[in-house]
Amino acid sequence: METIQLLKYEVIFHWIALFFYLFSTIFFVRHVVFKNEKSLNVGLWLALIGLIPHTIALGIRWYAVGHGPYLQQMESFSSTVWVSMVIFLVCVYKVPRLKSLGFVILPCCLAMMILGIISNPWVSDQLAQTLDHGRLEKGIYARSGVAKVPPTFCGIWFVIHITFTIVAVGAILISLSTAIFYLLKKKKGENEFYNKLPSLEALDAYSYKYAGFGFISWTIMVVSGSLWAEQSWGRYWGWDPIETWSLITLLLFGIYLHLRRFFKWQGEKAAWFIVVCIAFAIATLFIIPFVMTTVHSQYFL
Amino acid sequence: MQKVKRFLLSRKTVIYLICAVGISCLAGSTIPQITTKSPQFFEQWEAGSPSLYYVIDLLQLNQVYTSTWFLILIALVALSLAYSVYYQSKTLIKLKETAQREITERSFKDFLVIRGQGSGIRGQGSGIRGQGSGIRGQGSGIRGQGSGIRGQGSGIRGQGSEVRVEELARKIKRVFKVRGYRLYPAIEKSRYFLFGKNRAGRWGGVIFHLGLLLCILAALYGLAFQKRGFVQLKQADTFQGKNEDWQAKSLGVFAGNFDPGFKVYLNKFTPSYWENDQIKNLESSLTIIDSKGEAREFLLSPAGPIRFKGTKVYQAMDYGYAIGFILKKEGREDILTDFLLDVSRKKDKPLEGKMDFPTTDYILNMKFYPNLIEPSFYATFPGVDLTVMEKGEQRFKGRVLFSQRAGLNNKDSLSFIRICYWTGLTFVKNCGMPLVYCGFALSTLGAFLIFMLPYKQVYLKVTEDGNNIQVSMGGRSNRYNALFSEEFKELGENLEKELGKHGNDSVT
Repeated sequence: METIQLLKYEVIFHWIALFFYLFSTIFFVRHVVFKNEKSLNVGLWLALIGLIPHTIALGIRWYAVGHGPYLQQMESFSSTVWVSMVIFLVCVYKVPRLKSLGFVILPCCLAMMILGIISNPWVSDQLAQTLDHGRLEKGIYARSGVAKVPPTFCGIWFVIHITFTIVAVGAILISLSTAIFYLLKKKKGENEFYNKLPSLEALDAYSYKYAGFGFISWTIMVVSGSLWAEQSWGRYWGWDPIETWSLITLLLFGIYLHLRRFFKWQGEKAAWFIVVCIAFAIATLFIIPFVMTTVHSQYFL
Repeated sequence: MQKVKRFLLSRKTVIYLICAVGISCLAGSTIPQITTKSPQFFEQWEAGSPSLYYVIDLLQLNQVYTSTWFLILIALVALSLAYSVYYQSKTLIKLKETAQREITERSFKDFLVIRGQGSGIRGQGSGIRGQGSGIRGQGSGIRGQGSGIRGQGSGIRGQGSEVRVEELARKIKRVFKVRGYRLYPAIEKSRYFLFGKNRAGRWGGVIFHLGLLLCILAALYGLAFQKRGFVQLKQADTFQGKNEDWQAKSLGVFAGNFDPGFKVYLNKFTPSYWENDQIKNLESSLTIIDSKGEAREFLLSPAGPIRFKGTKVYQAMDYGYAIGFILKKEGREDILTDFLLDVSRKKDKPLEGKMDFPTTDYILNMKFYPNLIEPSFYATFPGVDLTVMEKGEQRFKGRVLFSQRAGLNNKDSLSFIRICYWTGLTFVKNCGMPLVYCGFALSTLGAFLIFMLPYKQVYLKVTEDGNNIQVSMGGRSNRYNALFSEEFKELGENLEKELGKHGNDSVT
């Protein structure tokens, strides 16, 4: 089958997954806002089913372009959503009382999915053609080509770097959602709905645990990125903006973890602090490459 | 000395140091730095706002990462880490020694400080009644929760005391083994049990901080001794390996000169491209000739740097065409010069350059097309659109094909006689790299141990009260106490079940 045909199928499956995530989000919101118990399981099942077309879409993409889903914006967004969803579902499988976290995770995933689909060169090409009544030059390679792997994109450190970047996002999303639920539960007080969630102390501990997991993944990301840079360019640290912001985020997580350990920052203070840490992490990954000149922006196409 | 030690180990100092490093990084990434901007940029900035520039320059905020204050800050962080690693290790070794000793009644009492809070386990119909007790562990902020399990009933009654306790101990060990807890061997035969899980987790902090310390030391070593040089090499050209031959170099403060000690000859350079014009690979065929004159062949690519005599050679992503002209000037010898043009990212765009012709007043403005017939990266039908200026006057403008001659309106002429590739090569000598690898490995391992393997301890005491046997249980964890308390509760329940089974089995 031709690449263009395959990419069409990929986009279709991405749209199907997006709609599942959209409905899942609606059910999770309904569950939390209207305290509707049934919506929780429906939302979870929709998320789980959505993962199937999403997996197929990523598989097709991988096959069609000949490299993993990490090179272009849409590939990065899509694979990040996929990994976040898997981490969320594994987390729910292990601790069923954390099902409600979908209220935070699904909207985040949905937003990333939408950004991914909009930034898909094929979709933007089609949209532009539709808006321009077909006057633009046709052909997927004409203006929206599939990015190919640059010569430095190889080796085990590169694979580890990419993998742990995505895993870090998944972990910090869980941490963020537990922190948000902690704040919600604390604010709303004891009631039937929030009593079904883990205790405040347990939510706080989960937030801490997943922040720790995020910290490990972030550390591995920075370390493997450095080793990859050393192998490719002969320098393991060059104060590139993304490198620097990754370090800043790591330091911020370090402060959070020290404050918890030494100064007994728990509960509300810790929850707000983790929200700040995650804001920095998101800025590092998704904003800095677009606003600063960095060696990463030429790859995050 | 004690004051310095106390200052560096103070928790507040640690937080302030991390904050200071973070803020410095923030400043370094938002304020334009000398290493990333051209000197003209700073001249314009100084001219535009002299007072602001004065402050920035005075505080070395335009060169944050090499500024004196930043280096002092990093040195303080390193010292703090070193002290922290030393004292954490000392404490952990002491703890290990303590754990190896048999726990006595007194030490157990010391541990059971607070009673009456925490989760009690109440057996239903199984002959086991629970007693609640909360336990606050010794040491900083480690809170445990306890529960007492009182064995009652027919199963235990009627046997000899030692036999009963041994049987009980076997059951207890089984329950804990299933959950991944291991018994400290030294106290196995007593009536006090100390179970531990993830013992390696205690060393996480030490290992992580040691890793960070090694990374910082490696960075400081690099700053002092690293040697880094860049050369542009044309095909069939040799880099003589002398300090003065570098196009650009960056040497550590105490590095001295950078003489690799070998020559490098570029046999061939081969770029390849994907169908969408992206670079697929760059490959340089090199001959390296050492000081004894022995030659070895190497293939260099971005994915495969070469290591030779302690120096690593990297394929740079800079490359292009070198186009050579001979200037025939009346009354002077012919001058042959190669102009190095950077390759264009699109094959339909020419390679452009504006350069002086050495030892003359000519300025050449070139647009080089590797293939004039159809867009291509490969020089199959090359030609150059050339404009030659001399003291503001145009001497020539037109297209010159390969091997053609361009007259310059004054009996001088330029002949386009050579085309070949040039490529950049980066040479790095940094003996601190093993330290970097160790540091990275240890930091990663340490972070994993800290957060994925929290250290957990559960203490048990078996006491006899007439015909009853009472098992008291307490525990603590160095991370995620709320989650540990849930696990602790489950352990208590499992123990309750196991002892109940014991009772039923033994009723005869």
